[in-house]
Amino acid sequence: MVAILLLALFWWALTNVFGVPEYIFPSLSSVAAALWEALLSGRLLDDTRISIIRLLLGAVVGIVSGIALGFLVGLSRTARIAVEPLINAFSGIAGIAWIPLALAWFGTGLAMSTFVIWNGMFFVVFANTILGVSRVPPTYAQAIFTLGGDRREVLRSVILPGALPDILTGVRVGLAFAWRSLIAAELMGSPMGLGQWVNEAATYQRTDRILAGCLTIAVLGVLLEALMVSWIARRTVVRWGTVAVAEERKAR
Amino acid sequence: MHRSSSLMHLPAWVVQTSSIFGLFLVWTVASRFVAEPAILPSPAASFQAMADLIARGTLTSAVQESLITLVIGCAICIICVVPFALSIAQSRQLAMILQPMVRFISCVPAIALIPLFIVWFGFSTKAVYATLFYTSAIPLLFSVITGVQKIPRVYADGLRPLGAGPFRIVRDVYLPGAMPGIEVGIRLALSYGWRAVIAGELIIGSSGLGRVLAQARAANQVDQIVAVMIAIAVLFLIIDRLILFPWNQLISSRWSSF
Amino acid sequence: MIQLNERKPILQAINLRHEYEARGQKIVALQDVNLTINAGDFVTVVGPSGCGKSTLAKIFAGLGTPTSGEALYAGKPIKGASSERGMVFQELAVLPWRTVVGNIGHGLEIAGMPKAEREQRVAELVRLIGLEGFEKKYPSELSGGMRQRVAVARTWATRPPVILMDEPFAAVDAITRLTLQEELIRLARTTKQTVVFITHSVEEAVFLGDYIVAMSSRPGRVLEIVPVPDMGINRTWEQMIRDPRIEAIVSRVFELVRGRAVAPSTERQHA
Repeated sequence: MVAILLLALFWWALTNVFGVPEYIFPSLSSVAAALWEALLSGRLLDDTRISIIRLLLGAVVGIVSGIALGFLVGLSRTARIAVEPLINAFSGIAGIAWIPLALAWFGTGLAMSTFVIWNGMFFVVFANTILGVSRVPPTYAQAIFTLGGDRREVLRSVILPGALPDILTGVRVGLAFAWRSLIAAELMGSPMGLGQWVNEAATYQRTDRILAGCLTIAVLGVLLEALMVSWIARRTVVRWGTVAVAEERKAR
Repeated sequence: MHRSSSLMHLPAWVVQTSSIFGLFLVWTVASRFVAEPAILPSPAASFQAMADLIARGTLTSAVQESLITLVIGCAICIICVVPFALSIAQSRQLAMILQPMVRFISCVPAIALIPLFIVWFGFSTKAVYATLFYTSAIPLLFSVITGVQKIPRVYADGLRPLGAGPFRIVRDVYLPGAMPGIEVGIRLALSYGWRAVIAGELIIGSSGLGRVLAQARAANQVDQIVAVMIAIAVLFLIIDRLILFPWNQLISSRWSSF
Repeated sequence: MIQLNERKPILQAINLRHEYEARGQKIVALQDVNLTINAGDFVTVVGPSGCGKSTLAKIFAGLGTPTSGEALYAGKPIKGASSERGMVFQELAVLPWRTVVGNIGHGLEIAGMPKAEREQRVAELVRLIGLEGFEKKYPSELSGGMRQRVAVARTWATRPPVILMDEPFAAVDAITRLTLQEELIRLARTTKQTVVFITHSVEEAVFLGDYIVAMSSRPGRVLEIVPVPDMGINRTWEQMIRDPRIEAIVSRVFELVRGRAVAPSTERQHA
């Protein structure tokens, strides 16, 4: 909170004390005015709604497929070794570099943004799920076997909760990647959406609108993460103590 | 039983080579099935496109441009950020105030700032450098600060009675002690930076592999798009393995207590 | 084959041999191990690290297969883990994402015991291990000693015919360990439980065991089986260290596991 106030103060000083011109770095008040204007015209809400729908669709596909395949692969040592080079190769080009191909494949519609977002987050969720599954202490599983549990019981009561800290890390990082990929996809061609709004602002050199868009994107990113990850984390891994509270705070 | 256990212990490189081979096999079959090179070119067509781009010199000069941008940009980033991070990490209060500020700024994705950089620097490589700097500086800063804060206090406390001054303590304790953090930071800076360079070039269209990608997209040359993507992935792997991996080994084996 | 007494054998090892490979070298963890454990006995297995005593416990639990030889439970070869042979591990193997009652009742849940009956059995155990008031806590909110009590109670809850304990108190601080050991004896004696307790502490082995299986290191072999006089259900450490018979046994076992005769006077300090 203090940090945000200090930041606002610094921003105010930048434009009002050091006299950085408005067209280079707009003042706090003009960005606020641009936000207010966009809110009144309804454009901000429309763009936000479209961006959120695109993000949620892509993210759900990315999270579900990443976790499911991560479990399948994570349980087998050979499969883990086999996918390692594929993960490395694909994570180097994940997300944004796929946009040209995605545009060629899917045009500019919802399928394109879903594909790009899925691509941006799948590999990090997948890789973290594999990591999480593979590093659950084997003693936990052995203990359940000696209590009479079978493989299904171990999967349900040991592997799934045991892998959760890493899965949540993957989803957290993945959401950030997804959000970036979406903004990039909108910048590069999707009609409407926050990225497109910033893009249009840039064509008219309206830096106040660009920054207003960036702020909205940042706040939404934080909110999305708080709603989708931190909420779950507080009720599970933090409560269980399988993730240090400090670590959880830092990751936020 | 015996057979399956011997299968489990196939050497890693055999498994990994066959999985890459498998990927190309799937790709070949899929491109046959789709039978539309404007949508999914075959591996052969993509490598042919890559060979053409190399023959024309487009790809080689683009690779050069992108790599130079990455190296110079990261070097600037390291020179600016590492000393800054080392000095603010000395003071816990300063680090406590600055970290959340930077963290808040980092919520704005670099991509969203590219339009601003374009307004500032035009459609030039400078805007790509700005994107790279913004992307790489933040993980580097955090890694170095964390690295310094992880150094046990007793290391410095143990030297002081021997008459060590602040300069010697920085040289003998903080710098070597922060090495793992610096190393992680540079690793992150390079790998995040590589993506930032490609994304920046793609959107700004000034130079490098990103521009070739954007041009291929404009001309609807899907085989070229795929060729450039392969080049990007291979370069990423080379950066990750050849440059960073041996260094990582060197540091962690010398100072294994970390 | 070494016979402990004339009662009904429940666990048997016949010519057990176990080897594994580490850094390209073949290591023999167990060699020619023959052992019979009778129902109702509290047997401690003691030896230096690397004597394969943990491997032996894992084989009895069904979590490992010997290279050759046979491990029998109630006369039948052991194939895989089962709820008939519970195990308490050295590492904290209680699940961090289950509460105290969730962990203790886990085995009963797996066995499909109705909820009401289960809750009653768990409450009884919670009282027995002195964790009232901590029922809804997660393991991370407990001390090391409390966590290990939960691990013991979880295994006890299903009343398995055999309980294997692999250095369960090694990670607990020394003072708490004394209390846990005294509690364990009372629990085991009250329930007339067969227990195989693995440890590297000679004193712990002598304090807890009806019989001590002394093992040698690399390769792990059974050296001797030393019977211990019955010190009763309410034995305490204070009482044990003053008993000359116990002193003699401690000295004897020390000599065995260190592989040489040591003057008893130097060993007394340990006890």
